[in-house]
Amino acid sequence: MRVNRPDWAPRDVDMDRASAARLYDFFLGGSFNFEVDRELGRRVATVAPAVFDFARLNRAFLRRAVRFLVSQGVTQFLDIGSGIPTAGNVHEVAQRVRPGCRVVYVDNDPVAVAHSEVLLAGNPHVVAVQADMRDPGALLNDPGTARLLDFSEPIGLLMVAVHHFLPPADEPERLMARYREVLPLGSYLALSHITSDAVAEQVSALVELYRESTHPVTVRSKAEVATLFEGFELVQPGLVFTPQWRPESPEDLDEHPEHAGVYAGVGRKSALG
Amino acid sequence: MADEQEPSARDHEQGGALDPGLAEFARLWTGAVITTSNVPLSRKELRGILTGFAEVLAESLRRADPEAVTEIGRGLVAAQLVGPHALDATLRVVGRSLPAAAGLPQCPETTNQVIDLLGALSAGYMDALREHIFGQQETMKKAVFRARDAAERALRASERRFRTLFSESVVGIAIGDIQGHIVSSNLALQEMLGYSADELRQRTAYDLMPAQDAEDMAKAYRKLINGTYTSLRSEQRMIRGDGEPIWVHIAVTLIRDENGLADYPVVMIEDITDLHLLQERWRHQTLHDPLTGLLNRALFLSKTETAIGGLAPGERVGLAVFGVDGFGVVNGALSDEVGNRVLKTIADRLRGTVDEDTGLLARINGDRFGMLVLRSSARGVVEVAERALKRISEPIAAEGRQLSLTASVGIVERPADRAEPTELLRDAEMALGWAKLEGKAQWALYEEDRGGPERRALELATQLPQALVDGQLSLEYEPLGKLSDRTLAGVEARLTWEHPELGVLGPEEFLAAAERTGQVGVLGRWVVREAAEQAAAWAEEFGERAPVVCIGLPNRQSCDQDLIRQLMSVVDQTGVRPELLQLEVDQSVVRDRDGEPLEALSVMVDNGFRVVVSGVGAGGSGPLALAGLPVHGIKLASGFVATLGDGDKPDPTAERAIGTAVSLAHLAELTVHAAGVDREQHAATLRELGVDVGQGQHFGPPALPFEVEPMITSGTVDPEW
Repeated sequence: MRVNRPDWAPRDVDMDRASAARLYDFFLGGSFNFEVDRELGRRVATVAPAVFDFARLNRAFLRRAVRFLVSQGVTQFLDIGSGIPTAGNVHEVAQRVRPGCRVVYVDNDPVAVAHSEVLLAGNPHVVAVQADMRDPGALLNDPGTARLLDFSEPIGLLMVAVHHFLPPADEPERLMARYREVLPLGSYLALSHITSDAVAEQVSALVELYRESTHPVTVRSKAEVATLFEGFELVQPGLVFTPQWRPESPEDLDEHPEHAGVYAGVGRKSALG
Repeated sequence: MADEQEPSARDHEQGGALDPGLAEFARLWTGAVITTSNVPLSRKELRGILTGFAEVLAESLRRADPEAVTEIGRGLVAAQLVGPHALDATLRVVGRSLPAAAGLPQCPETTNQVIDLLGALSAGYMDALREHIFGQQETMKKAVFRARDAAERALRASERRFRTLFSESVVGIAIGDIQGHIVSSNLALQEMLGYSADELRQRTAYDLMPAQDAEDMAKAYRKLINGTYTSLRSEQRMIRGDGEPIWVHIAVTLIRDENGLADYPVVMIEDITDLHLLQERWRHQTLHDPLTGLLNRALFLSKTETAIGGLAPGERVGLAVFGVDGFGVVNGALSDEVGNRVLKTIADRLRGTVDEDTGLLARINGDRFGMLVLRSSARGVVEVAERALKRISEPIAAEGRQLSLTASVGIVERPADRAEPTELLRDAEMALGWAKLEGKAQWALYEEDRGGPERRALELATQLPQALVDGQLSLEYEPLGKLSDRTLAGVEARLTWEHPELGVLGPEEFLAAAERTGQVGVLGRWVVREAAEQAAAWAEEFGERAPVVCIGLPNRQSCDQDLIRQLMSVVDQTGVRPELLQLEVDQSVVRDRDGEPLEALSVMVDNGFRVVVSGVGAGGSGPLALAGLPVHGIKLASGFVATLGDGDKPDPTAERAIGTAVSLAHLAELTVHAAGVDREQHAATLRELGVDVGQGQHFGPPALPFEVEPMITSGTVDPEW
């Protein structure tokens, strides 16, 4: 249930419940988390041990996708649901290939945003914005977004492992239409999403436990994830499990890519879209 | 990120010759650790780094020099190999495969060297990992502090905003708990209710309401809590600390917690006592005679009907109408003040003769008073009337004089089941006429055979058709001006009858009779036709400048099924454009019995006529009741405008009430007209309140067509002659 809260009331900093951003950091082996997060994280790992791979392979997809987009000429990124900064952040990956790439990190978790601000201090090409992806107007009109992004040039919209926090009631397709609308032609969408099409038991156990966090989870089928790409032309190899998306080495692929638990794809906004 | 270092060794593959054994070792090592950690590198990049590390390790193993190995442990952390199993996997691969890859023999000495090397590697790794974790925890502390700080600042700012709103608001605001206790209140509320903050804190909202209102409110509040209602508004009474009741508008909003459960209510209370009093005053004014405080004709008739309805079969009822003899002379010879004094005195004396339980008194009009006597006999009524005449004839002191006046009285008395209020009144008035004819200062009892019950009405009504033919009836046109700049905004057709014996009669003097006898249909058609012809003539002569002609439809005609047909045939025959005719329908008849708007309204609008609801503000329905009607505008009743008062400054409550009506109308995109704008002061106030168009003495009296034409030419109600 969405809380009816006046606009002027600030968002609480809730340290008493596990947060999605800190749980993700825990699964990636980071130390940016609290006991309340680790406690839930360990319980998740007990019933869904694959969660460490979900997180690591998803993070690796993000890195490959950013490199791909830079290779396609994208120099500005909007990373929605960026979470807590950790090794291999978008701007590090992009700027290593092409210095001067600009990145706007967006999260609705005030601690994650504060964290980004602490780490980003002094980097003029990067900004962290606190906004909710369910409010595209506020997100896109935030002074940080407006200052850094040029909406007449292609933008790399990164929505990696974030839509599973939107229940159907939030109408994710409608939200996507809104974001697609503002993206210039030639922009890209990189998106990943947890699914129960494979390792179903572990995933449903995970979903059950995430109810206790600040961010409950909704899983989607491949077809449902595909609808989020409406208006975008999927680049090769289409919508696949994370390890299958443009692997850098044959050794990175084993015989069970579906154990990665997460679908990933990159689409381009073409004239037809 | 600032604290993430670049991997310390660069891609080694371009570095030239590499021992194939070490190359294979690096490949194994890469495969063993790459899945243990979130490494932001491709497999190839990681292998490059680890190949460099492998060379250092092999070299120090050969030289039995573990010193440099500590750095390799640190390098692994820098390469983000910080997952829980990264060290474990590394130690296993290095221990098992490095000696062979480095070309060392399998012997106890090698084993010892390997153990030393692993120890140094682990020490370096652990040392760096500790720093890595401390660094991250430090960053996180800063982030949490920063986020809390920002949240607290935002919270303080929003609390400041709320406190300002709370304390400065002229609306009373209370924050309660879920049971209805008042936890916190603002100054406006404390002043409104006459309690201190502490006193309010000891009470629930229900303690401050009359029992019935409290019960209704509690019921509605429960529905708010259980979610049946999303918000709650109520117009009701509250009781001030000094016991005075006030009228308030209450809005309750329920604040819910993050789980959607009812947390506490915020209540806004607006004091609308003034507005309410004003409404009451109108009601009183429209039903009571302001001079004497007696019932007016309308209320007298309605109360008479109710009283008669309460009588048992066989009981009788009497009605007397008193008229002051020669009152016109008194009024004309002396002054209005004296006349008013006389009427007040007579009213008081009549009060003294009527038993409150069995009788009613009213000022019918001018110098005529009505008296109803229930459970009467003819003899009883006559006795009461005689007593009253005697009291009236006592000298009246006014402006230092002693006036001696007499009155006449007409009496009707009959069984209750044959008594219809308007007939009773009409018959009594007829009897009064006989009494006066017979020499005044006496009573006359109505007799059936002394003139048919509808004689007078019939007389006038029967004269109407001939009067029409003889051209005794004509239309005058009252100019309508824009309040902003006195631009001519139209004219209103007004019927007058130049009666050969009775002089000029206004519509109010014969329309009632015509409504009764059915003549009103003929009259109405004639007015519509006449006005339409005039409108068409003006349109032909003045083209675009031609004024809109307003026609007040008699109530009966508004509901008439034939109305639309008549209108359309008039349009056909005269060739007038329908938008030049503005039809005015009284607010009392714009809805049918079920409260639905008259169908005729939308048909008129659909056919292109302009439609305006007149009489707004007088009587029951406020401007809110006009919401949703398919009309173009509203016309404020002259009585409503008159509530602004005679002072230099408009009556503030009246001003507010009219302002509200105007805003509501403008919200509904209706134009607002005002009738009875007689005073410049009123015109100024109405202009400020946003009223669009006015009529009345301030804009000039009704005029003949030739007098209107210069206004059309000049486009203003002040033409230059």
